[in-house]
Amino acid sequence: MKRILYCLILCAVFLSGCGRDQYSIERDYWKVNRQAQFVLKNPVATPPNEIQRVVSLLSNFAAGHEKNTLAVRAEFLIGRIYLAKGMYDQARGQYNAIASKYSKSAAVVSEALFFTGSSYQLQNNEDAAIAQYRQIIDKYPLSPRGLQMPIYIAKYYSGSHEPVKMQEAYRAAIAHYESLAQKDAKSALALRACTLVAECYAGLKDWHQAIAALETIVTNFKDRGAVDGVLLNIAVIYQRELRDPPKAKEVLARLIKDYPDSKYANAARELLKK
Amino acid sequence: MVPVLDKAGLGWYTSNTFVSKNKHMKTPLTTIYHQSIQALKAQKKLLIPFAIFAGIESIVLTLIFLAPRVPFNAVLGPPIKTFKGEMYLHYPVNFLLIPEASSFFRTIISVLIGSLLAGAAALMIAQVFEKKAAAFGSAIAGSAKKYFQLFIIILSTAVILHYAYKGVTIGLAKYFIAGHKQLFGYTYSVWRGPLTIIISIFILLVVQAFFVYAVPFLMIGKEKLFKAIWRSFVLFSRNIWQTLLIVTLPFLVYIPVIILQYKTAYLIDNVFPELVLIVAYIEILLSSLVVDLFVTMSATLFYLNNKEG
Repeated sequence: MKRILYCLILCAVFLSGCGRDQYSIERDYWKVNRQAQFVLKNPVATPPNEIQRVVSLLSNFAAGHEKNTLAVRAEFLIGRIYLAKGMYDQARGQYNAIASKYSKSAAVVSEALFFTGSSYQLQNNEDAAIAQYRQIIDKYPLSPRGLQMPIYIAKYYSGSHEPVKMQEAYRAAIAHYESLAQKDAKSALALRACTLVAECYAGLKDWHQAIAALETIVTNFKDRGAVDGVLLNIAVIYQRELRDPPKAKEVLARLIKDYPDSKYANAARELLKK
Repeated sequence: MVPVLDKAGLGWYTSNTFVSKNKHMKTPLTTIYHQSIQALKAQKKLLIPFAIFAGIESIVLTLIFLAPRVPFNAVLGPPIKTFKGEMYLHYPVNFLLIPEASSFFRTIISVLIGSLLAGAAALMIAQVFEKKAAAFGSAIAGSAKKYFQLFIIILSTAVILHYAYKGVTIGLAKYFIAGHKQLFGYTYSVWRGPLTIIISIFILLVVQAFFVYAVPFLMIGKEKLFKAIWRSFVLFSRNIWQTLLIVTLPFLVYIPVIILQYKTAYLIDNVFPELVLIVAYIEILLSSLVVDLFVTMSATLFYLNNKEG
């Protein structure tokens, strides 16, 4: 009986600690990531030797698991630590190294370019930052980061209180997204682009155009999936921004009629009562 | 201990015991606990049913822990992915699943196997009470003969508890969704958190108190299923405070574990994720080898001491 018990305990210890599967790599990453988070919580007070120690932990992890996606995360984390510590040149060097190492992955390179831009942004070097962001739009327009960048630039100008540049950036973003949507009007990319167009018009507070963009989504995509959320957004714009309750109720009635079982249907019914 | 005469004139009791004025109360709780400890000292075999249950639970917990790992993920991964989501197969999120999954499987094991072991435990305690040697083999055989009835008793308890917990959660959610900001001065976040746990513990103890004598009545008193349950209710109603103490006192050691399990996410983020697993193993040891052991022993001995005829 005792032998069986000891065997079971040994098996459990072996299976939980010694196997090198994805789970054990995640556990190793969690440990180094935790060390990095301690640094990121208080980068100013962290001494340089501690920064070096954590960076070498992350580098070792990345080197030890080169083919794992967590290795990429570890490498980006090194850059983040440098950024948090204000070591901008080292951060850019790290992001350059990532971009070279993973040059075949648009998603990774566009991320590296974005953080390079962020490092310039943190140094208030607007031109260099925008140049990096535009590079992402030109080279990797369809990557997740690339899709976000036109509207990001507009929001960046909005945050830095430059209304003229902001409006220009929003107009450029709208043109960019509309050109993407026109390539294949029924694709998932077109859906995302139309949504971003609506967001851009909302940023410009051009509510009629925002509604027009949302209506395009309804027209083009109602056969491919539920557009109940889009209809609710249109109703909310009519109600809150355009102060047009009859139009809002009309759209809500449409939502309830077309999607009676929608998760938004109850909210729509409540809004109709008001 | 100074002997005092109970004001109701029911007999001599010691001053530091939980004395009842109820005429049906015959044996003080200290005597019950004294008998329990003496029985355990004399007959270690009494631990067998509880140790088996703890062993089964530990194996299930180990499997839950190993579910995201090769080779276990091939079998255990798909159901976790389907019912909870892919993220629960990754470190350290899988530790969030441990308290919930172990509680779920504990209920299933209790109904399927715990019922059989509870019957065996009651018979073994009765053997010791009659100054005989505790025999697990004969007890489990005797219990197997009444497996269906035992299964129904434990299943009824589990179903009542499940719906009671659900009722509390849904009731609170509906109350606050209706637009109320507070209930008895507390907001939804307080109700949803610690107060729901306190109410759940209270429900658990009361439901357990109703059913706690059903197994002794069935196994030792040779009553039929529904009569055993009914007589358990009657014995509880006649000895409310004693019964509540029988189920509550051992449960007190379990409270730190409940607090730690409520803070699972905090433990993962601020200590280390494996602590959740350690807490789960401690929970198994405490629940099986302390709470269940003492509740079963004291309830059975209370029944035996106060048995009519």
